[in-house]
Amino acid sequence: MRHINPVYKRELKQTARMKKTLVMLLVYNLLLACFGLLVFYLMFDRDGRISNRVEYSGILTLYTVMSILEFGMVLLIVPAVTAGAVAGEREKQTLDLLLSTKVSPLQIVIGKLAASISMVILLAVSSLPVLAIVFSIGGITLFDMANFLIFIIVTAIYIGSFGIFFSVCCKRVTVATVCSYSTMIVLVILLPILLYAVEFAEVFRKIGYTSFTALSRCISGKRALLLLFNPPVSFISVIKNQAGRGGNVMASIGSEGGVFYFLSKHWDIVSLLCQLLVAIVLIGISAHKLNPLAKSRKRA
Amino acid sequence: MIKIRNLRKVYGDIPALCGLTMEIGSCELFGFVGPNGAGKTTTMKIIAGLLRADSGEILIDGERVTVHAKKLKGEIGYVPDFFGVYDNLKVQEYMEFYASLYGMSGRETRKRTEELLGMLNMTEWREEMVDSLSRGMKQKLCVARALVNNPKLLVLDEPASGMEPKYRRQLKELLQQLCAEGKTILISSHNLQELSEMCTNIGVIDKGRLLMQGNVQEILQEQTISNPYVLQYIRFPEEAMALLKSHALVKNIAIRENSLSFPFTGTREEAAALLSGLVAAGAEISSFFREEGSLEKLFLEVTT
Repeated sequence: MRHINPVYKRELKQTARMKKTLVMLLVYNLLLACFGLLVFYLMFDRDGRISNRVEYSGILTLYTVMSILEFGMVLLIVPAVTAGAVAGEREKQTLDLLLSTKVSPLQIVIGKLAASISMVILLAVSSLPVLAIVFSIGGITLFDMANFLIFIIVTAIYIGSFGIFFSVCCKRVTVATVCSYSTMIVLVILLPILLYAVEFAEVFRKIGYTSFTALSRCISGKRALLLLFNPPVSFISVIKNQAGRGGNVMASIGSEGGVFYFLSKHWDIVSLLCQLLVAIVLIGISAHKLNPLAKSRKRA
Repeated sequence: MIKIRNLRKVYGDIPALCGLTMEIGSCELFGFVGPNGAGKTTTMKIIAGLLRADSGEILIDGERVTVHAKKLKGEIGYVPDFFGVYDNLKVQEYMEFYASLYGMSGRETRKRTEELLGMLNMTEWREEMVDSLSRGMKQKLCVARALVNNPKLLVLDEPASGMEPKYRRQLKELLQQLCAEGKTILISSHNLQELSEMCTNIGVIDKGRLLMQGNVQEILQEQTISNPYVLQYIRFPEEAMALLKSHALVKNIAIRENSLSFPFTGTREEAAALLSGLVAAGAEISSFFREEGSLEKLFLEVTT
């Protein structure tokens, strides 16, 4: 226990004592369980009685839907939790006390990020029994589940690093939270829309009209590489490998051939590595900005 | 112990420190005095490694704060002018957390925590939640926290503001004890009377510059010598007044109801001779003394 980051240890202790944590765990798992059981009932019990026929591949849909819920939880919770990490210390006037000790700014940043992600991991792990519903029929292996957990952790680190970065840069928690969510909106929603709009305009310019074929075509060329930093596309690639859903997006990227074909086949790993790299850079910048003795370019 | 050389710091367009230069010796209990906005907190933050100066340097035991920050932070205990506490942490855990930030082991931490809570009469509060403590107790806890790493240098920014007299007295005694044990203490406060009783040395700062520095007793003694004598009387006849006015060492007599005050440049013996002469001239004198020097008066003189 001695070598555990002390900031992380304290954060865990405080979080574990908060009633909010207990309520969050309870509500999240209750919703997930109710939803899972309802879908399970509708797919197997009800359909079996009505049509006397059960579609066993439906379990993959159930797994996909539950994974979407987990992924959505990461996108929603992590920015809020991480944005308050350092800015919260500043507001409570405890940041100077931390910085006056021997603990390094990097340790503070990592401790804060790890604590925020631990909360997400706790939610993800606590929901494993609910997710285990999918094992009742088969089709999804434990290895798939472990893969998905790794994906959730990396995504949480990636999104969390943005939250921590804004938490270090902004003095108020509210401002940091707004900046984190804005970045998430840009990264998750606006980036694909923008790329899609550019693609759409290009098709229109080339052939002079647009059709449903053009609309259904996904982002291609080098622009597609930007999607490596888009968590939903990474999620689609993971789910495609596990449950066979969302293959169109990947196939479209692979249709470019060459390196894109390779990318479309290994999109999940490559995108997670790219996102980890961004997270490492953001953590480094955050630690530098947090260091009160670091030389600043902005000099009065 | 601390050498500050030509320290400058500007916040936007507002200069906080304008070439501050001062020295604090080992085992000194140094009172840092100055009006609000004089640059005390900025100086203390730079010493504690929480702020980077625009120019100039601070050496602690010959080592630059900016270069050997990590090492020096292990030898400094800092109490800011606010008490940052965490929710959902007990007093004992709060202390243990800060001990772990200095890389102390579990056993070492527990021993030190027990020792410090005992020293500050807080042992019975160890299981209490930090955020439920009173203001005074939180301040005591902050001082205990600053001592957790057994620092050589303590930097205390108004540690007793808002404390009740009992705690202030405890803190004063503790700081004097720590100073006697060999720690160097830099303390800022607006309670000048308390500082003059507690500190060995003081420095007066205003507008980012050091106005004066020295041993408290010597400064007060010097100030006392320049203070006027006060003579309170029941009866003071014309003969006595004539004698007083004609005395070579008496100047500018201020006359008030039943009292006189006048600067007197003579020795104690010459003052005693003057008193005898006045009594012989028929004056009935109830008291005759020189006004005591006070840090407050000195502060007002220096900073205006």
